Amino acid sequence: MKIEPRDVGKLRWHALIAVALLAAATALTLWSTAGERKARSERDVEAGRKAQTEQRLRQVRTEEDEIKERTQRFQQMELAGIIGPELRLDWTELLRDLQHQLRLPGMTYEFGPQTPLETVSGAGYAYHSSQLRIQLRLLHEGDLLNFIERLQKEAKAMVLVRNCKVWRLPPTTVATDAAQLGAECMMEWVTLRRTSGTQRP
Amino acid sequence: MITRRLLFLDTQRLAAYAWRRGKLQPEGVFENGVDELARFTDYLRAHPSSHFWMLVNVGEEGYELETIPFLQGGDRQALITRKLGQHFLGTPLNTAISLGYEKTKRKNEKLLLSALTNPAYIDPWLKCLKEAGTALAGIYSLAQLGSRLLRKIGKTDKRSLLLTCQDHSIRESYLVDGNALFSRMAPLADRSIAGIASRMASEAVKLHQYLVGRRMVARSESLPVYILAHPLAASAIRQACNDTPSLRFEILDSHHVAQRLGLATLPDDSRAEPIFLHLLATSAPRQQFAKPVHRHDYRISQIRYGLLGLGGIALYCSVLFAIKQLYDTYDLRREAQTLVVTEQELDWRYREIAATFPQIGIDNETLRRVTNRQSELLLQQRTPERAFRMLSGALNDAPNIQIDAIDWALGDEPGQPAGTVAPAKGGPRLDSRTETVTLRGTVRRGPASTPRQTLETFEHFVEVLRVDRDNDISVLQQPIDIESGRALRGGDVDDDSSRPRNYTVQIVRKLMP
Repeated sequence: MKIEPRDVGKLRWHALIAVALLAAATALTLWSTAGERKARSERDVEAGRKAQTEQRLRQVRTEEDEIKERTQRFQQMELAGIIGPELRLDWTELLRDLQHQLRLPGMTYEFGPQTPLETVSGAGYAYHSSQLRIQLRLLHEGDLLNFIERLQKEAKAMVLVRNCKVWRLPPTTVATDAAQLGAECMMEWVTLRRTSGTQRP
Repeated sequence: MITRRLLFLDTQRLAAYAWRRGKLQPEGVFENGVDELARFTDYLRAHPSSHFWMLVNVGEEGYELETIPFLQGGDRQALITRKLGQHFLGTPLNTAISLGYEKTKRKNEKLLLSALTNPAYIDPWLKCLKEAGTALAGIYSLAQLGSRLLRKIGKTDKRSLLLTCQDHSIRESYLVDGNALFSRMAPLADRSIAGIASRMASEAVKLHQYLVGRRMVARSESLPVYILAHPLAASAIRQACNDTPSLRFEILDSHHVAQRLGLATLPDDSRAEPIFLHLLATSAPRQQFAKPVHRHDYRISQIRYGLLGLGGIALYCSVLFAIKQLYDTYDLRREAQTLVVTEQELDWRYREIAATFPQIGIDNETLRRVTNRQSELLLQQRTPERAFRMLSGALNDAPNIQIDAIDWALGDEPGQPAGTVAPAKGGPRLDSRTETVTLRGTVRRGPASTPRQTLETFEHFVEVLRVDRDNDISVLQQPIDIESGRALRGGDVDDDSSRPRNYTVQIVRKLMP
C-alpha cells in the first residue's frame, strides 16, 4: 500500500492525537517513575539512618566503660594544656626555667610555624605541631636527658623528640662556661585544637 | 467506534444496512442510475467513519480449478495473477483460493480461481465508494459465504449443494470441503411459496445434472441438498423436493439458522440476504474480490484507528503502570515514615544512655579518633636515653674507643645534621618504628700500637655493640682504611701510628613499645 499526499490530511489529526497520547503516556510513566524513585531513595536514606542508630545503640552499652576512660584521657589532655591554642609564652618560660634549674651553660631555640598533623573534614578536633630547634651547651649528656624528660612532663604540649646531636666541644671553648658538650635537638610540640572546616596541610 | 455497514448488490439495486450487535438496520436502497448513484455517494459521505463490506449477488461469476507448480512468495503470486488474467480477462475483481497441495512428489498446488466477470456493473458503485473516500473492507460473493453458513450450523459434508432464495433469484452453489467450486444464479419469476418450492426442486435437479455432465460429481454419488427457507415455506418446499438416489433434500429453517448465527433480526420471508449479511459482518472470509486500489481508504482508516489504538493502549498501559508506581510510592513513603519513627525512638534511647556519660562537648566518634591518635603519638614520645645507656655499656668494654659526636634520630634515615630537619611535605610524619644512632669518634691506642691492634680494638667495640640483637650495625668509616678499592699509604714515621684513628658507625635500633 502506498500513502498518497491526499492521505496525509486524513491521517494528520489521528497522528497528532496518537502523538499526544504517547506523549501523555510517556509523561505519566516518567512522572510516576520519578516519584517512586524519589520515595525509594528517601526510604533507603531513612533505613540507613535507622540502621546506624541501631548500631550505635547496640554499641553504646558495651562502650560505656571505654567512653568514660577516653573522656578521662581527654580531660587530662585539657588539664595538661594540650588542647586549645598553643601557649607559646608558657613554653618559652618553661624553657628558661629549665635552663636555670638544670644550670645549663647555654641555650638558643627557635619555634617554627604551626602545621596540621592530619586532615579533618568539617568541624572537629585536629592535632597540630610546631617544630622546635634547640641548641644547648651541656656539662654532660645527662643534662640533655633530664632536660628532655622535664620538657615532656611539664610542657603544655605533647613533646616528641625527632633527633638529637651531641658532640664534644673543642677544648678552646670549654674554659668560658665549663660546658663540655654541645647538643642540638629537633622536637615536635603537638597540640590539639578545634578546626572550623576542612584543612589540608 | 467503528460502525460496520453492509452493502448488498444484486442484479437490480444496492441495499445498505447498518450492523450493530447482531441487528441489521436497513438504511437505503439505491437503483443503478445517475441520480441514485449520487444519492448513494451522499449516503456514503454521511458515514465517513464506517467500514463497508459489499456482498454481491450477480449472475456473472466464474469458477475455475487450476493446478500450479509448488511455488512460494512473489513467484507464486505472479503465477496466480497470470492464471487469473488468463481465465478472467478484463476483470480486476478476482481472487484465488488455495485448495491444498497434491500429495505427489512435485507437490503441485490446487487453486480455485473465481471472479466477478462483469465489472462494468459493479464499477459505478465502486466509483461512488472511491469518490466518497469510503473504507471498503472487501467485496464478497454469496457463494463464498455458503460454505461458511453450513459449517456454522454444523453441516460438514464433504460435498453438498446449497440453494438459497434472494429477492429475484435463487443462488445455487456446489460446495466441496468448505469451498464453493461452482455457483450460479437462477432468476425467480414466481416469488410465491409454491413457486419458490417448485423452482428449488427443479433447480437442484438441473444443477446436479450439470455437475454430473461436467464430471464434477459422480453419477452414482448421493449429494445432500440444503435449502434455506422461511419456516412458513418449509413444508411446501419439503413436499416439492422429493429425495432421489442422487439427491437428499434437507430444509434449513431460516429462523433457526439466524438464531444459531446470532442474528437478532429474524428474516421476514424466504430471502436469505439478512443471514448472509450477518455472516459477512461476523466472519468475513479472508479471500475477497476487491483489489488494493479499492481498499485503499480502508487501509487508511485502519492506519487511523491503529494510530489511535496505539496511543490509547500506550496511555492505558502507562496509567496502569502509574497506578502501580503510585501504590509503590505510597508504600515506600509509609515505610519511610515508620523508619523515621523507629529511628527517633532508637535515637532517644541512645541519647538517654549517652546522657549518663561525662559531658565534654565532643561526640564519641571524635573522642575515639582523638584518643587513638594520642596513643599513637605517645608511642613516638622517645628520648635518646636508651641509646645512650647502650653506648655507655659498650664503652665500658672498649676503653680505647672515644666518642666525639652522637647523632640520634627517630626513623630509618641516618641522622641528619642538627638544624636541617624540615617538616615533611604535608606536615611531619610521626610514625617511626626505629631509631638511628650515628657515632663519630676515634680509636686511641698507645704510640707503639700497630694498625692491626687498632683495628682489633675497633672490631671488638663493634662486636660489643652487636651483642644487642636489636642493633643493626653498619660501619661507615673504618679507623684504618684497608679496603682493596682504595689507596693504602704508610711509612716508617712513628707519628703515623700514634695519630688518632677516626671511625663512623651507624646503629639502627628497633623501638620497643
